[in-house]
Amino acid sequence: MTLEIAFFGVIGALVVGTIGAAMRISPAAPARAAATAFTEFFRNTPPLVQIYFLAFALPKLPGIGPHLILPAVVAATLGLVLHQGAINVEILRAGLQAVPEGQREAAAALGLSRLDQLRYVLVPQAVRISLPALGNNVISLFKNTTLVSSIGVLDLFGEANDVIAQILVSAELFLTVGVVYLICVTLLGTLFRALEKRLAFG
Amino acid sequence: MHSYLVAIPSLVRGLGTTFELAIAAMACAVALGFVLGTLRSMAPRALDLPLLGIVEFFRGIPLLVLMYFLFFGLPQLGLRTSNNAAAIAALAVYAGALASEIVRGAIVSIPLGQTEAAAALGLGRFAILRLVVIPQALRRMLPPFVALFALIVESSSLAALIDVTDLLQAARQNVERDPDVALPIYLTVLVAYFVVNYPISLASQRLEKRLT
Repeated sequence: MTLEIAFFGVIGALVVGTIGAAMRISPAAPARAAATAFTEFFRNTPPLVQIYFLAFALPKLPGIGPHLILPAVVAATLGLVLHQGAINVEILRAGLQAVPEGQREAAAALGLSRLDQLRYVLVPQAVRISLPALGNNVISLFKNTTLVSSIGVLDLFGEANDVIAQILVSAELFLTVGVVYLICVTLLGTLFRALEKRLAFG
Repeated sequence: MHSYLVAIPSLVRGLGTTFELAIAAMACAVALGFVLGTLRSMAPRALDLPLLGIVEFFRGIPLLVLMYFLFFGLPQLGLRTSNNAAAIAALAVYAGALASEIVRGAIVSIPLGQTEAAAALGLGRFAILRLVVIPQALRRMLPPFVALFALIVESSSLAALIDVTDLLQAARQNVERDPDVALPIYLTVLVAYFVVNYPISLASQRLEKRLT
C-alpha cells in the first residue's frame, strides 16, 4: 500500500509540477497568476490538513458535495500530489529559468512551436538541473505517505498500528517500521545520486 | 453557522498551541543544529561518520513514526512522556538534523583563506570559529533557518495525531461534535496555516536574495 501510494503520488506530483511550471513561465498573465496562486497555497499549508480537507470537508460542499466522497486512499494520495506537486512546480520553474535564454531563442529560430520548444529543448535540460531537488521531493513524499494512515488507510505504518493495537508491543514495532522507511529512503537517495551522475552534463 | 462561530475560540487556542510547539521546537532545533553542525564541520573523517549517521537517521525516518515512537513507544521502555513533550521532542530532533546541515553547509562555504588568515594572526581553533567563521556564516544560515521555521509550523500539524490540541486537533474535535461544520472549519484551518506560513516563506526568499 505504501509503495502504491508513493508510486501514484510521485507520478501525479511530476505531472502537476510540469504543467504548473509551464504555466509559470507562460506569456499569458492569467495562467501565470493561477499557477502562482496554486503553488503558494499548497506549498504553504500542511499536507495533513489538505488530506483532512479532501477526505472530510469536500463531501460537505453544498450541491456537488455528495458526489465528491472520495475513498480514503484517493483523498490521501490526492493530498500528497497537491502538496508535493506544488513544490515540484517551484523546482521545475527554477530549473527552466536556469536554462540559458539562447537555447529557447535558437529553438524558436529553428521554427519549433512553443510546445515543441518546451518538449525537446527546455524540459530535458531543466530536468537535469532540477534532479537533485526533485529527488529530495520524492523522498519527502515517500516519508509523507505515513500521513495516510491517519484517515484509516492501511499503509505500512497503519498496519503496524493495527498490530500494536492487538498485541501491545509498540516500541519494537515502531523501531522496525522506522528502520524499513530508513532503508527505503537510503535506497532512493542512492538511486537519485546514480541518476544524477548518469545524466550529468559532459 | 452557529456551531461554526462557537468553534472559533477553540481554533484560536489551537493556533496558540501550534505556535508554542513550533517556537519550542525551533529553539531546540537551532541549538541542536549549532552543536551538531559545528562539530561536523570540524571533526576528522573517522569522527564525522557516526555524526553523519545520526543526522541521516533523523532526516530519513518519517516524522510521524518518530512522534509515535516517542509517545507510544518510550512509555513501554519505562519513560513516560506527555503529548506535548513528545511532539516537541520529535519536531526538535527532526528539524535539528536539518538545521545541522544548514549550519555545516554555511560554515564550510566560508572561504578557507578566512580561517588561514585568522590562524596567521595567532587565533586558536575556537576563536577562529567564534570570531571569524560563524559571524560570516550566520548571514548564509538566516534564509534557510527562516524556511525551516515554516516547515516546523507545517509539520507541527502531525501533533494532532498524538492528541495534542493544536490547530488541527481543535478543528477535528469541533467536526466530531458536529460533522456539518467540516467544510467551513477545515477551510478556516487551511487558510490560517497559509496566513502564518506564506509571509514566513516570502521573508525567507527575500532574505535569500538580499544576503547572497
